[in-house]
Amino acid sequence: MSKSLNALLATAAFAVAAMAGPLATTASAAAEGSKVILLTVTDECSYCALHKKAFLEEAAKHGLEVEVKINNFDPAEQANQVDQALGERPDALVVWPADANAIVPSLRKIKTAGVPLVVTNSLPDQKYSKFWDAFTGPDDIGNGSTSAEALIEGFKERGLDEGNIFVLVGPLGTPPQIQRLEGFTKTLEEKAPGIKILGTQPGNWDQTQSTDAAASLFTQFGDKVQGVYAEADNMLAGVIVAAQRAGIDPKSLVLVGHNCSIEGVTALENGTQYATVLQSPIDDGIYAAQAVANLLDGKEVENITYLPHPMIKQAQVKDCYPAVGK
Amino acid sequence: MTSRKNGLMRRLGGASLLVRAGLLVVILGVFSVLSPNFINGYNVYALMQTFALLGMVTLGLSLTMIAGEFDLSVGSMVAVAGLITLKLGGSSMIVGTLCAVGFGVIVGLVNAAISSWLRVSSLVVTVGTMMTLSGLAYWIGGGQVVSTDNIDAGMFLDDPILGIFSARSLLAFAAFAAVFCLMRFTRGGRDIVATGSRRQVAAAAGARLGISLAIVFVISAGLSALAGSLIAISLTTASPELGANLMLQAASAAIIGGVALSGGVGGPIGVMIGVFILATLNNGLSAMGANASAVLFANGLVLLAVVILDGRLARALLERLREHRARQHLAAAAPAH
Repeated sequence: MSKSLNALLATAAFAVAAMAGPLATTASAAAEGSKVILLTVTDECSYCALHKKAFLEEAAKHGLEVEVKINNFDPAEQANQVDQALGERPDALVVWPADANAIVPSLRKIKTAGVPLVVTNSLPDQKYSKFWDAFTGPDDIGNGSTSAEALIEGFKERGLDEGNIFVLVGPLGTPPQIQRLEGFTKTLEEKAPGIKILGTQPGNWDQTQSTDAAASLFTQFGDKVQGVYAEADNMLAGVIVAAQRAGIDPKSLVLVGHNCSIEGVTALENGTQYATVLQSPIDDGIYAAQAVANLLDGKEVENITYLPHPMIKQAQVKDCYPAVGK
Repeated sequence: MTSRKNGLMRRLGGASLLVRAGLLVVILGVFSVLSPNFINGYNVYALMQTFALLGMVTLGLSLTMIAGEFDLSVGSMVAVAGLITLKLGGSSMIVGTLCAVGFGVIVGLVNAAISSWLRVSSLVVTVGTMMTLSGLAYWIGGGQVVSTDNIDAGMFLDDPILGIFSARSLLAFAAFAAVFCLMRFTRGGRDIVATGSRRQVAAAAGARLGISLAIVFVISAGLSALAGSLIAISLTTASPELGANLMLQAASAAIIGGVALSGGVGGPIGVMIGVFILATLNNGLSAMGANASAVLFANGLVLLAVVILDGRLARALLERLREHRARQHLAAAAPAH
């Protein structure tokens, strides 16, 4: 009787140890061979596609096995993909939020499930930072601030320390739109209070919509402005078209954008655009892959790691070539 | 003869449902083979969550289609309802949801009133409603997304029940059950089908057209509002963009589920199967890492396949049954030897 009880206890102990074993190893699993699921947004946007490519290449260097799930900026669908991903019991998750607010309940779910999590590109409200292990991505307030510094330098080069500009922003209410404008206006107020913003219109990250928006602003303020800030280079390309149609030589304005996308590179090289701020999708992807590899290797990872945001003028345009695939 | 025709139609309806259920099983089987993690608790839960949103919206839309109409405004209603809920909800989301559904009921009544009294096609009326609601959505949020800190309300709605369900998906199932009872057991349900089949004949036979239209448009707008309210609470965010693709997806799901655009055909069971077919297809493609264009392409293919096969299958079945009946007649009429 006692012998079989012992055997039973031994079997039970062995079973518990066997179950605990995989659980224990998951917690300190090395990056090599780990399964990571990347939940990202549509690769129909070129920045997003470059981000994904860079992420996959960097992840491969660390020996990570990556599975990708894509949604078309649909937060409801992304919530479903989170559920689906959790069912596959990955070693880590990397999420590019379709909507930085709507992702929060999913982040909480992932945290409760105990899966290591890296958030990339879109920073949710920092009061929820306990729900992620690492965020890597652009510092949009810093981006806006650097754009403002570029604009101020452009005005100085023309001997102006005051003047007027108008601004083209991204889709209203989205974090990049809000934060870039916040950083821009704050720096402008601090360092060049003489430069005033006469008007703001959304260009929605779209060149054609930006052309229309800029046309109306040129009609209103065309003879009063000496510069324009657009929150993205492709929107600035629309501003350039609108200026030409309004009979204004774009080179007579101080034009500052953001991203250093191909539109920015072209406009910088032909001297139409004064400056931009580099936000490299390559760096964005690499930082995320490095963060998840470090997490899996058990290394210390910062809760928030920002991408650098260097100012790019014509002289530095070659720095943007990798980001645009040149 | 009439009762035999009715039996025939019922049998056809049954056959059509079986074909659809079979298609769903095939899709499930294909993805189970292609994706090792397809059939597990989390993924079935994810499927049910998709059903919670798409199912409710499709159910309402399909009712208007059965009545021979079409409610184009369901997608915009989802967005507006979410915004109303979060703007008015605060710490008590129930208040927000009630306001949103109440708003939906009013819009449904307006849709029905203009369609029936002014004799304007519902396609035209609901285009107007859709655009008005879209504008309203931007106005309510001030052009921004509206979010709430109340994560707990969303958790209550989404916490797994029995592993694969949630309060949201169970509510959707309850809505289907209620509509099933409406269609099967009430005069209102029969009037709705009659309104969609041959309207003048139905009116002459005593079907109440005005009431039927009111019922279907109120249910359509009301269910879309409820779905929109719940998804906003679940995501803690409402946006004017939410539900942008829902109307087309719901229409596809309804047609795949056997609801005819011309009206008078279809029911909640078929609609449920249609929603699950679309949801499973999209879920399976997502499990395989497909991108948005591949998903759209696949949806379109399935829709086309169902429409083509359904037409041919139904006609082929009808032919077979007619021949069978004809042979029976001949055998009965042959003189005894």
